[in-house]
Amino acid sequence: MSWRDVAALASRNAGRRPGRVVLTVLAVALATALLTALVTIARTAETRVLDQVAEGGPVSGISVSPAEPSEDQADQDVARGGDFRAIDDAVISDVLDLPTVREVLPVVSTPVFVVRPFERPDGRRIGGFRERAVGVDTSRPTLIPVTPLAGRLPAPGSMVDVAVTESYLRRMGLDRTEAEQILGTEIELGAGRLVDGPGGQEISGRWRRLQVVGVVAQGAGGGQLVVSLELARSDQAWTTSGTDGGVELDASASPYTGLFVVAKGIDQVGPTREAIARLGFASSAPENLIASVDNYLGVVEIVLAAVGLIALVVAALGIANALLAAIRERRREIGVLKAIGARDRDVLRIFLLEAGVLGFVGGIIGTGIGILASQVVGAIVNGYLADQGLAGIALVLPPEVFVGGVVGPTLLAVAGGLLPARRASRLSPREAVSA
Amino acid sequence: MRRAGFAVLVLCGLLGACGLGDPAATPTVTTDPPVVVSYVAIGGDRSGDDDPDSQRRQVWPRLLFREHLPAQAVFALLSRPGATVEEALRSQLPGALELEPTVATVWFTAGDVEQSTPVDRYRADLDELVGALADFGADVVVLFEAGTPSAYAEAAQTVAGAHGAAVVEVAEPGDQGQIAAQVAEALALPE
Repeated sequence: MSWRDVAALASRNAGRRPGRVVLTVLAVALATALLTALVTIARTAETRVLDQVAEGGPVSGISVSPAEPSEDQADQDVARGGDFRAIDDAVISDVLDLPTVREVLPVVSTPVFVVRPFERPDGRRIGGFRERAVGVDTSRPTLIPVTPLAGRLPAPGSMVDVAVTESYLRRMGLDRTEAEQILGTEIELGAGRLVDGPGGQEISGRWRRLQVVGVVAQGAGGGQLVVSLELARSDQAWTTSGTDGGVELDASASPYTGLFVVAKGIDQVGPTREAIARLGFASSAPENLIASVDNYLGVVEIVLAAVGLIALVVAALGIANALLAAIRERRREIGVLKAIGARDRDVLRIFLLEAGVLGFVGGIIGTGIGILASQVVGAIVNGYLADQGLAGIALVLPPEVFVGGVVGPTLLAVAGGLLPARRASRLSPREAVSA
Repeated sequence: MRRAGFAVLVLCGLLGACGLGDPAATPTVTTDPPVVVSYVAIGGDRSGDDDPDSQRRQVWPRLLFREHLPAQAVFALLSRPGATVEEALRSQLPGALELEPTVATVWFTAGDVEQSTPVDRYRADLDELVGALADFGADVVVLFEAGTPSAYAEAAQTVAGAHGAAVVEVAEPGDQGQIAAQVAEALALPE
């Protein structure tokens, strides 16, 4: 019997009981949808949580401080710095040469004065204040360990853009749900330096007008203002050119006040930190925390996947049940087929194909429904996060969901149909016809 | 045909789901042009000091910077109340030149009048100061207050004329906004 004949017989059989077929496919589809949605949501949640732990940057990120490391540095998540040690371009080059390092992001934090705005949005006057501006290379936004709440990061090389943190929002009497209000406002920012004046040492300011283009969730490098690396370096150079080298204003003598190093994977964070310590610098990374969180999230994902799999096994049992019922109804037909020359394996193929098609169709429909359900849940969660002034989440759709969502139910359905199909194939023609 | 349409629909649904964007993605923006205006305020008269917390945040050089100069401008207020031109040559001019000024305002008379600096000396020092700024390529504006002893006022105008600097005679020294507007007009800046 050719595959074409097998397919024709299988589809004819399915067509005789359309209601049962629809219900069986629906059971498989719902089970697949549940599994797909649970895996997608679990993966998205995992990404989100790790993202939060890593403060929006890569989970394999390491912060390097301009200080010598302590002896137990590699075992600590926080930097245990010793004596001051400057980070310059040569150090960046050395770190980039490490085989476990993917990228290096230099950071410059410099003291500044802010004299504007004069008042908060609610009309209350505010005085000038001291702050730190943190400069990063914003051409690589995905590397920067901050989460945008509103707007964007400063344009690369911009001397007029600034992003502010939540602390700045609070200073303005706003909370994170009102972050949009601060966009487009102007900040007047000055870099100071100590100079010899007629009456002794004085602070001389060099001022810029910056426009707030974004709000970020985390405090960035201990400062409320995120600017381009070029702007921060320019202001740092001005401050350190003072008569005291910028000491009075707490400017760092290091050309870069830190590095953000991205290792080639979470498992490379430890070796990278050891290598950085050998280069003579203290570092910090939430690697132990991330490893613990990752383990817990892995358990959650397994539990959720197990729930979906149980549903899928129940659906496979439903297919087996439907096929057993079909065999009972079609014993005479099976007998006739055998009497006219059909072999055992032909009958086996008919019922296995029928089971496989039910699983395949149910899998496709279920995967689609599961993804749609994930999108709906994602939209609801994003709406909630937006209300709370938090950054939205991006749905993570692992490729294995698509493959597994179709192949898995098909294989499970074939497995579920194996027993009934074998029983049908072993019926003797006489036994079947006389039934 | 109908089955094929259904298959295409399912495929489109799946592909659409794959194309979900990152809601927190950073939009692409262009880089700003480099700084084109560097403004320094030098003086000893009513340019005010640089105390961030004082009411003098509204002094006219700051208003000029804030309201008339382009957004990319940087600004340094180097003037010190009561400073003479001679003092400024030592304490203000080096810092000003370090900023590579494209715009400079110069207002000295009160300190020199108070300390009775000889007019010739005043003229010579002012000439050196304005000349250094003009030679650097800065657009210079020399200010003096109406009512300044005529010898000093004439000296200021003469020096300005010699170096192609604009002159602003300040009639209302208390009106900071008006002074800023006068200087902006002298520099042909937008109001």
